Amino acid sequence: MSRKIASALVLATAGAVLFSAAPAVDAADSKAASFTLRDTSNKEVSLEDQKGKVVLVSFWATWCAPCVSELHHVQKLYAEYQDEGFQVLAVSIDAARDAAKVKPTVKSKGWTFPVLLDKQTTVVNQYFPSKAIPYSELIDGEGNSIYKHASYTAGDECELAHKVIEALTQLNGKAPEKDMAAELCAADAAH
Amino acid sequence: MLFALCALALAQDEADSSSDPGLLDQVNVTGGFDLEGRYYTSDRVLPDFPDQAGLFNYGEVVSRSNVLVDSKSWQLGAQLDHVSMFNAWYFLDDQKVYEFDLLANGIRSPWEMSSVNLEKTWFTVNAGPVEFGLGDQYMSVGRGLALNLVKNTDIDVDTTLRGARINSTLGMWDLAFISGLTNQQQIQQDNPNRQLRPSVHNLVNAVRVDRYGVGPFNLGAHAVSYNMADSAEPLLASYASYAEISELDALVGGGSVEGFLGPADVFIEGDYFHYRDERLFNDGVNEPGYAVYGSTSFYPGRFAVLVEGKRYKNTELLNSLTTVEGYEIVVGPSLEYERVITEDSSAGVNSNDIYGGRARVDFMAKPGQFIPYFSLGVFRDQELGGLHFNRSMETIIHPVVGMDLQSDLITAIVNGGVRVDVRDEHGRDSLIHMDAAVSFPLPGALHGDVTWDIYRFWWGENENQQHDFYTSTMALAAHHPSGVSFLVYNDFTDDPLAQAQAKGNVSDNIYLAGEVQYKPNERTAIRAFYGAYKAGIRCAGGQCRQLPGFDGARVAVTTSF
Repeated sequence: MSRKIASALVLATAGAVLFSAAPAVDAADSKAASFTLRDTSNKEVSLEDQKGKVVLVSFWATWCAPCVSELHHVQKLYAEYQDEGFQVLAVSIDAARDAAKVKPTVKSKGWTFPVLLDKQTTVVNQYFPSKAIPYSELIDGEGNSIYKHASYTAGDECELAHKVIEALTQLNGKAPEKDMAAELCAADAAH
Repeated sequence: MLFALCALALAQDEADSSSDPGLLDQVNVTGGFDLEGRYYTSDRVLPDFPDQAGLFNYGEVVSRSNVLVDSKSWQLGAQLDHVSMFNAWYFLDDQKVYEFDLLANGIRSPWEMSSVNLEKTWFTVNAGPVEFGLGDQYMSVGRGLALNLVKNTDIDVDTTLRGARINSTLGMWDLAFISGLTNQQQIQQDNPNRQLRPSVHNLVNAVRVDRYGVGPFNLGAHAVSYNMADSAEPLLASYASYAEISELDALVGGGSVEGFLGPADVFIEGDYFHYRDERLFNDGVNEPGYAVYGSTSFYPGRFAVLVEGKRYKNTELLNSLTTVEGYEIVVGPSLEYERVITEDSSAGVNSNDIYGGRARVDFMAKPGQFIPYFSLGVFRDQELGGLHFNRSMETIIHPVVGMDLQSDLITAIVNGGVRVDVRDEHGRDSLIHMDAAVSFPLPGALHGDVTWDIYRFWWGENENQQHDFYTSTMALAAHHPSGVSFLVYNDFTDDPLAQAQAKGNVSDNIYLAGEVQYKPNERTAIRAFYGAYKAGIRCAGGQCRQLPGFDGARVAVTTSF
């Protein structure tokens, strides 16, 4: 390997280390971008209308296996916490040509949260221009983005559950009745 | 005028939110930065200098920066790409010889082997029911048959329309309008940059109107016009230049009906393609094109059923002018299991004369947890010549079975099938395939996952008789909660076409690589890769690309703020 190439790779590595050493920017107080999309029944759903709820905006697609695994756990959180102010907006970025697959996928997986269609990928472009999914943002009752998470590895649902419970506790002034973090993290720990 | 509308919208928004903090106080700035250094090794030698190994080794550094400035009612975004080559040359008799010409075809740069390009810029204003967009915009119309310009991350294709877009929702009406010049991605982030090409600016105008709630139906209509650049004006950069030569090359019109009929959903779209440019004539004959696509889904008991059908005739002709630029501009549903498309079957994905359908039935054996499915696709591909290896029409039959298992311990998504292309006169091609993505627990605090694709292909008869082959791609990963992951990649192929591009590093057939990933926080990932992987065709989103193999080392960092 020539010295120039080695230097370039060393520089890239050094840059990587520097970036990783820098503290992550606190996402609190950054307003989540507003959007309105249609769901799988063509009903309009707006992020603005969810004010006063803790909202998880999760970008996914029918062809994305990690997204399906992540949403499997999100469904558990939604089923338990929807009455305590937790909303999920699962935004499909399937292209228009694949739109027919979305509803059968949702039905077969048993997801009950709203699934929105971002066929032009304009909304994901506002949130995450690289469009590498899965990508999720947790938004508090004031519309602030309080947690961002890219990709999914088994066990990530444990941290997400903690973040959701934290946000719901702040929203309602008390912790949710059931501790889903204990359940999801126990499954994770059993690994 | 559009600028004036944007200004008015902003002023209106300000007036409506007079109690809110000032406009600038609400601004968020987010973004991302990706950097990757790659070192390619090659066993190629010059014929007269067989002892000089490594002459064709070279290095490449690519980066991508995204910035998004976001307010309550507007967003401003930009994407800046960069590439630099190192050691992509050698000396012969003291003469510097470049292995390839990075900046060919008029790309300007102050550096010989580097380039920086502002790939995308966009500005969006949300004003109540109306959204205005300026700069680089994505747009698909209907099911993508008349226009489909969206980002395809799987195969590193990203073409936008640089112009103006309006989306409006007024009660039960949706209106979308776009006018712009195509702006293709010039610097590849995933694939080698051996020659950058400037954007060829084709002029596209599109309008789509949807009316919702007409009884149980939604109705839509659209029209798209194309002015395609040609060799005489390869770099048309402005509307003005098109105004001077205003020649409409193609016009597409269509409509769709979507119905929610009790337990069943129905969608039907029809499109008509009118061509005026002789480059779009079929063998010199001006034939119009048409497309009909339909789908229905229904959910009896524990079943989810999706049935789709299509008839496309001369719908891919526009793509013949843009594939050379690295993208397709009209991409309808192929109804194929595109993950297993081969060099031979890719012709069926983008055929100009094909009809057929696919039915898929999912069974919720354990709802949300265990869902096996069966699908069957049957197509009649009538196009000959071109990229088609076949000399006669063929019938394609493709059954696939699979399952989705989501338990607390193990997740598994498995698919397998058989595809047979039965030609009317010259035998048949056959393919058996299987792919799996499985996540499972490992000892200690580790998680493991494995993804594995394997298939066996038999060519049957064709003029350019190829070899039957096996091919396999496997990735095995172990993830630690600290954010460290170890991955091993193993590819196998005895396909001479793939080996001609890159042989294995263990043997001619076997490719081996390792990678370490580290995620120090939610926003940052670092990857170091060493080894080789095979070349091969990859299809995603109705587009197919021959992706190159790799042998060497990579270091990458991805971060966001």
